[in-house]
Amino acid sequence: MAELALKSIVKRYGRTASPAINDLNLEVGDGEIVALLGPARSGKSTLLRLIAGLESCSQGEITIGNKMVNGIHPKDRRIGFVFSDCALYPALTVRENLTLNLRARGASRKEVDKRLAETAESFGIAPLLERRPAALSGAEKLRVNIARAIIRRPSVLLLDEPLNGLEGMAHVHMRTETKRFLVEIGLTTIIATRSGEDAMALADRIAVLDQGQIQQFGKPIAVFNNPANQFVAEALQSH
Amino acid sequence: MASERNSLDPKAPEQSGFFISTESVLVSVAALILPFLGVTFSPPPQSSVYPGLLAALTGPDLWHSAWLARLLVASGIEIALAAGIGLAFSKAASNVSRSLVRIFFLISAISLLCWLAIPSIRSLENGSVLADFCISLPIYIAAVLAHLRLVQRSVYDAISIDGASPWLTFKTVMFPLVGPALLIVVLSRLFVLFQEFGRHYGLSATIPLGCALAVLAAILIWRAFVAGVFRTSQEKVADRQPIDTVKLLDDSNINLVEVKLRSKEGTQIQMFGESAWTSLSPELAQQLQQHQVEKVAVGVRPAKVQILSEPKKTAFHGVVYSFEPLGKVGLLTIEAVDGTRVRALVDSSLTFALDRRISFWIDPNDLVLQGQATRPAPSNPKDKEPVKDIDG
Repeated sequence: MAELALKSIVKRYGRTASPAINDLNLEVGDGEIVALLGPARSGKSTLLRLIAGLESCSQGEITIGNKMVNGIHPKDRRIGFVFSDCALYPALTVRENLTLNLRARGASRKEVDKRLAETAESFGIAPLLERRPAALSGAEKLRVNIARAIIRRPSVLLLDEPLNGLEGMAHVHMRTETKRFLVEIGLTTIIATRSGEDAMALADRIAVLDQGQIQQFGKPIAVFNNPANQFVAEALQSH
Repeated sequence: MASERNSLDPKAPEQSGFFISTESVLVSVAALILPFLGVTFSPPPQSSVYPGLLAALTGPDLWHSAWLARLLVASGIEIALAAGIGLAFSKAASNVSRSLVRIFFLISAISLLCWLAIPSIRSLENGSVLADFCISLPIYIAAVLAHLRLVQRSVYDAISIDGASPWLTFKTVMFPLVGPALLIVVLSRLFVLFQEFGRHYGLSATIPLGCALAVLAAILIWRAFVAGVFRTSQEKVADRQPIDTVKLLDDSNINLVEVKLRSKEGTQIQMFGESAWTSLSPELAQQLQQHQVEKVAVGVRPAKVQILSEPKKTAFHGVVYSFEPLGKVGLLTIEAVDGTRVRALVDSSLTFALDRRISFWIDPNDLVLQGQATRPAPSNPKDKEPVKDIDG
């Protein structure tokens, strides 16, 4: 685990375009769960990609556990990333999907088997190990996706709209499951979501984002009871 | 099959018992039809020299013809494979644009039009070779590029985060993804290779044979893709999704709980593995009695689940599985003693530590009984009362 700090982050695509992230500052405590709440194109996913190293900042500093990670390759940042569209490798089984990053790091077979068994047990995906992603339901894919991010024992966990595509009871059920996972593993976590209800349910603190800037940052109940502006109030009502 | 081939080439040797099952019928039909579908070949000038296929395969011009055919045709495989594999290795694979795919299709189309419209190109000594490269090769490259475009961008991001080496990425992720496109390239070029070989060798028997082999290979590989290699029987079972009984209750938020009837009169029921009620209201008992089954699925609205501040022996028991504050109310998920998870709406100002022991109560009059029996269902959907909002 580690704390995460973003200082004066700016991200521009092209010289003339308005910045996708505009002078953003955010500090996330060790083991804290923070939700980035905002509508589409508010900069949530961009911010996660910047933290993961999938894109580089135009300006600013990203610090994970007191170590500045700007310019460090994504594989060396010790982050776990849960993609909104799951991004499981379609030709590989769940077992191979989970162990690919361990094999890529040269982990021994014994270590790989041990971690796989632990992760499969805690996420309840042991019966799914020999299946391919096409044979998984939406909820099973999400579990595997989170398990793949966790198995490498990251310092920071990033979830990009993890409950996207789940509706009704499946959505509520998986949100409950995700909340349980997150509290159990106790990692520093950032969740990007468009749903105020999901942000309220999952996070210790919520950062409401609009056009790459944080409108309000605080505990869910505090933000809910005292929204800084109409945008924040509307964002919290969104489902 | 032997008789059908003999109708095309009387000098071809008879073979029997080689193809079996449905494939043999398909291959036979294909062997008959394909040569007439635009497949042109020279008349076999030396066919009298080669009285049969076996003799032909030992003829003096065999290797020359084979090499010539390979030279004319098969190099397309190498170029397409090199392009596909090279792209799969490179980072450019994640940035294949739709325009790039279109450009290759356009090159192919323009080449075809030129070939058809300008006789001087067709009369060139190696005009057919030129046409083959200009028409078919861009199509093959476009097919590979189009497959690469199907790969989600996030898959490339996942590879980057996983830190897989280019070789591991290629072997485990990219090649299986572009494999189908490369397979199409290889198969179609092999098909043409057989035709060219037959044309240059002057052996008409190889043309239907080539067609037959290509079609057989395509069928077998297709079957392997669909049924055998890439999907296990477990996966097929997994595809069968269970019926969502919640939809039958018309409320996605309601708790679905299985209730066991403990007396034939329906006056005692067991819920969450605990017997909480010894006497039920006459109306509820009568409703349960109508079902004549041992188990009934009932609905429990989250708002009707009462959390008891003090443990009570006669109540239901469980542990806190999860607590999600949702503003004014919070969603508490309790794992009951039998493992059933039940959701309750509570005041969000309360806090619930995970795995804390908890007692809760549900008034039997708050059960939503829809008659969804877990054994032979006698219920009539028209008799159901619609379940309203969870707070209703």
